[in-house]
Amino acid sequence: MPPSATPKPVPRRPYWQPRELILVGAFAALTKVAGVVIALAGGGMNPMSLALKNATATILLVVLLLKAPKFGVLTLYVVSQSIFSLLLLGGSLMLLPGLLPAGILCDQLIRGLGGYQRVWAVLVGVGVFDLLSKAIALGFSFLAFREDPRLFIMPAIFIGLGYLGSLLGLAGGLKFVKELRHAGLIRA
Amino acid sequence: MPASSAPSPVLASLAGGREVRARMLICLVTSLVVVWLKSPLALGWLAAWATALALSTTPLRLLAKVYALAAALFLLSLGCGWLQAQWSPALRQSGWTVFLTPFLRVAVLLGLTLSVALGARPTELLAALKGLRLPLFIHLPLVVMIRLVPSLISDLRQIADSLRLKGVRLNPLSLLASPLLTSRLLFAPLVFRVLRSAEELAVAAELKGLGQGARPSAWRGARAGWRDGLLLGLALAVLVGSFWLETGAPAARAW
Repeated sequence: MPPSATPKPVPRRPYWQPRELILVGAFAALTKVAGVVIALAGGGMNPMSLALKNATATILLVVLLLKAPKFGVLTLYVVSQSIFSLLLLGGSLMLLPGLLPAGILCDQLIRGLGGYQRVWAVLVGVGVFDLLSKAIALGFSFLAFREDPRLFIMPAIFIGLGYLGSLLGLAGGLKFVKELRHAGLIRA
Repeated sequence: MPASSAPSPVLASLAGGREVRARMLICLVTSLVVVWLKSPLALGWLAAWATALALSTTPLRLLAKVYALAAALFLLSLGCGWLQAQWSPALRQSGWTVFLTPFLRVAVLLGLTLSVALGARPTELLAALKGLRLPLFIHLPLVVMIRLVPSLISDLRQIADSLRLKGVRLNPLSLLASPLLTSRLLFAPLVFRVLRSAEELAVAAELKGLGQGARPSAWRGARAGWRDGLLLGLALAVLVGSFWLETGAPAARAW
């Protein structure tokens, strides 16, 4: 290089790498497909398939957060799923303003508890996120059934069952993570 | 495909195939409007329009199956409501229209969803998403979602076939009898496959320079045309009609 030539500035490395973004998209797609398959295999949304669907979604979220351990992955996952549902599955825009702060809060919680390398921090973060998202779903159900609040009891039971499934999913996630770690797919 | 189950050609010329972004926008706005609307008349009007839109893109047989399922759910909710009404006299007085409103909200969203999800090929959806000019960290996961869903379904079929060869049956009974074992047999191999696919996709994306300033390109253009304008204008007219039915129409007072 001639002495007069100025060196080219090194481009700044973006925060999000394609590897993480692709993982987020892949797990979001898997969660959607798993939900549909469980509903079909269960012969509709009976209490068992409802709990199982939520358990599977929680397990997949735990695996994702340990596979792509970076601040904001949970929020990005929530945003991607919400936009996908919003644009292609007729999901409501009203859930997004609630889910977005819930995602950011739980990302902060995981970071505060020691980071994404700690399995317990991830489990607590996902547990709190599930609780918040179910509370938001309850609020939305109340809006949809506001003509007669007594009808609200049915969605409340369904959402409660869903949260029970999510709690089961936390235990399942812990077990599954051990297997993935044994297989060398997760380093946490 | 038999001729009877194909979408109507007249409606398809108006709404089918291309106006993905317009239909996404309609889906978005209507999902908000249906929460606000309360009158069964206004919601019924919107549901009829959503069904017409769905007819333009969805085979008649599939549409009939989906609507039959929704009607079955409505009847189920009526049955549950009747049971609840045995203990609640106030609920008995409010009548069956109380159950009709939430059902019509679902029916509107169902029709619109079918018109978007089944009305476009993955390449058209990707082009439409690109046209929205979302940042890469939102655009890329969405593209991966759309691209991976068909391959995940094919992977699931292969896993189900291999389970059948081993004598494991996948049906509601097996799911109820041993839910953990069945879901584990089904989803554990799928997670491994997804991790492998994501790794391969990530290598391909990095080799193409994604994340280093390069933007993903689309094979199809995403330019809005007169069809988008026509469909959006029609949607606006229908929404105004639904507001009139909700508040101003003489028939609205009867509900």
